Amino acid sequence: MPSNEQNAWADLIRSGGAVPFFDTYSDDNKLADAINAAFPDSAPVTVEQIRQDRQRFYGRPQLGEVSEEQEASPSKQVIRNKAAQLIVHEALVEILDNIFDNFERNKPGNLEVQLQVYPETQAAPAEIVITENSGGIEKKRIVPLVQLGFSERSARGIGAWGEGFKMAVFALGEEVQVFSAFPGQEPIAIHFPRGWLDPSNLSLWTKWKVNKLRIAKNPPREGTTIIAVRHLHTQVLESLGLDEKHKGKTSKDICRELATYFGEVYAEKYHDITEKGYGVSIQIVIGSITEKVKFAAPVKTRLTKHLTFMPWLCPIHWITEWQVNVEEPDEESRLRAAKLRMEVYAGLTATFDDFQSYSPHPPGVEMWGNGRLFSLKGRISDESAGWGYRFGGGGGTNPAATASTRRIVIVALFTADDSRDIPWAAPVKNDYNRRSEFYAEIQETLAKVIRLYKDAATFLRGRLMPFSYEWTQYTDQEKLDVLFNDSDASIEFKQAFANSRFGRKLLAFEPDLVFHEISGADIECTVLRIHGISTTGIKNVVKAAEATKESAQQVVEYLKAIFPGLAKQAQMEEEIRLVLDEEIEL
Amino acid sequence: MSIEKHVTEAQLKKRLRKSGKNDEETKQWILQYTKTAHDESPDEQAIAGILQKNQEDSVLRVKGFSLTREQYYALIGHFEESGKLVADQQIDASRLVKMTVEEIANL
Repeated sequence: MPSNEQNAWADLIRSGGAVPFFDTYSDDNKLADAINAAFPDSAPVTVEQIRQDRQRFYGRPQLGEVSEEQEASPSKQVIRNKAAQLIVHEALVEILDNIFDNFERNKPGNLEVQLQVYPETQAAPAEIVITENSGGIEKKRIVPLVQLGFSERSARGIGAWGEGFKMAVFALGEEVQVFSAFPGQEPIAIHFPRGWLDPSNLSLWTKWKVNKLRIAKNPPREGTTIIAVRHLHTQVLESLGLDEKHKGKTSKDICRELATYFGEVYAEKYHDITEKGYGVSIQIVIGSITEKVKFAAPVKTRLTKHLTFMPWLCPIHWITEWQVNVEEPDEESRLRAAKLRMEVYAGLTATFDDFQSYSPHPPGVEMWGNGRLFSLKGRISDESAGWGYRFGGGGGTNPAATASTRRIVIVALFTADDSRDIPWAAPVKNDYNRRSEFYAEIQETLAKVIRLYKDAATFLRGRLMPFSYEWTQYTDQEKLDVLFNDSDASIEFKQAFANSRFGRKLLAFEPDLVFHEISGADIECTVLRIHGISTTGIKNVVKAAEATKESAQQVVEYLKAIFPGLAKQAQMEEEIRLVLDEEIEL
Repeated sequence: MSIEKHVTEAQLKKRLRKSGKNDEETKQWILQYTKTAHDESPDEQAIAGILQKNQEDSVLRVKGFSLTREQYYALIGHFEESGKLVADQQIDASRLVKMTVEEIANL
């Protein structure tokens, strides 16, 4: 927060009087010394402050004269209303969506994004500046950038509705400047002045045109775009911990929170890009705090670590594709073939207590579109995603997504060449679009997936664990504790079990962490067809697990029943009197 | 638990023969042993057994008795023999739980 102390340097910055000083002193140390010597009664300025201010107020591109007037949105009220509904995190990812799309369109090299938040000082109000090198904005793409409803979609892109960027920047602040240098073209700037989206500012509110400007000074490097949002809204300042009354999270907490959020939302996108040989780096700077985004592992990798891989109820990976003709009044043919590919990963989670696992989230279906997480308002837990679905005939009914079904983990990854076909909400991609052209197909597919696991949703953790990755990370003692955690097993009993032939085999067991692959839209997806076990069989196995609680001896009986191969081999080995440290090698 | 000694197929055959199995039985034993390794589906019979046992236990719990399994079977046997079908209505549960298996059987 700016203090009331006299600050000559801030005055110079604000008045523009700092420019000659920057011109004269190219060395930050010398400039700091000169200022502090010239204004001994003022608050001293640090070298770090000089460095930041040189970059922010002197090195930044400067707006030049108007080169062209561009028609902007005649629907300012629409932007205004929608912008007001966006939270900061969502607004920032909408801006990042455009950056990723532009990068995929241009692929100029490694993508580097810096999101810098400047707190309010005596010299200037708070500001968000995003600097990125996704290739620059091509001249012909300026219209989609400033007009509502125009979107220059790239293949498998994220930008879909032509509203995200505009809403996002105005959700953050009142004044927006965009500087960009597309290779081979004159660098340009777009300026939405403060008041442009303010109905009380009569002269600007009624002005539809947006000026395309030249850049007078410091044009951005070729392939680079700088987006500066000024006069941040109160709720934005609050969310970023920059409001006066702020007493909650520190800048460090907020930086980390944003980094985690971006790292999750773009995890699949990141891995897709890096697989193609490009690097992606996003850095968040709030004041003096810097945090680099660490992208989460791919969905499949994370699921492999957290699901349980029982051979008779293992996780599935189901790929299916649909195509329908949709009416598109804007397009010449008026009909467009909409295509959607859905990849579903599903299974039962082994554990609920790992922070990194999928399980701490409320139950439901997680959804991704072209590599970007979009179930940001929470997993989809209503009937649109197959919960509570009634199958025809004697097919039964799915359970609702409640705490008792939280063990069922379902992740749907959608891909489409035309991003409008992804079933994400419009205009903000933070939810599932229940009006998708593929609503019925998605609902039915997810309903079948839920049906596969619904009868095992309450499976006891201790009985599932040997089939999980986590099991392979445990010590023998930890394994014994997990196996008998809900029984009356004494230390001696556990030890005796560990020294039995069956016990030794079970402790050494390594699950096969492989998903069952399914493809096609119309397959019969039942436990019998997929896993070769009847629904009654599954119910009995789950019920029996529950029944063995408390009695250590019954736990052993149960384990032998679900590991029949190991149990039988152990028995055969005992019959031929193999000593404990001997193992048959065939 | 580390496995310290590996028993090769030749050593295994030798052992099986030593235990009295002939060539064919030895072959079948190894075949069965190998096949068993791929047995991954739950043993339905064993699962059914666990459920059955649990059902009996729950019968005891529902009726408010705290009997051991042996006491329960002794009781059932007693009533079967004496031709009485409705068991718990005719016996004082609080007295029963203090009785030994023999005492119950002699009711």
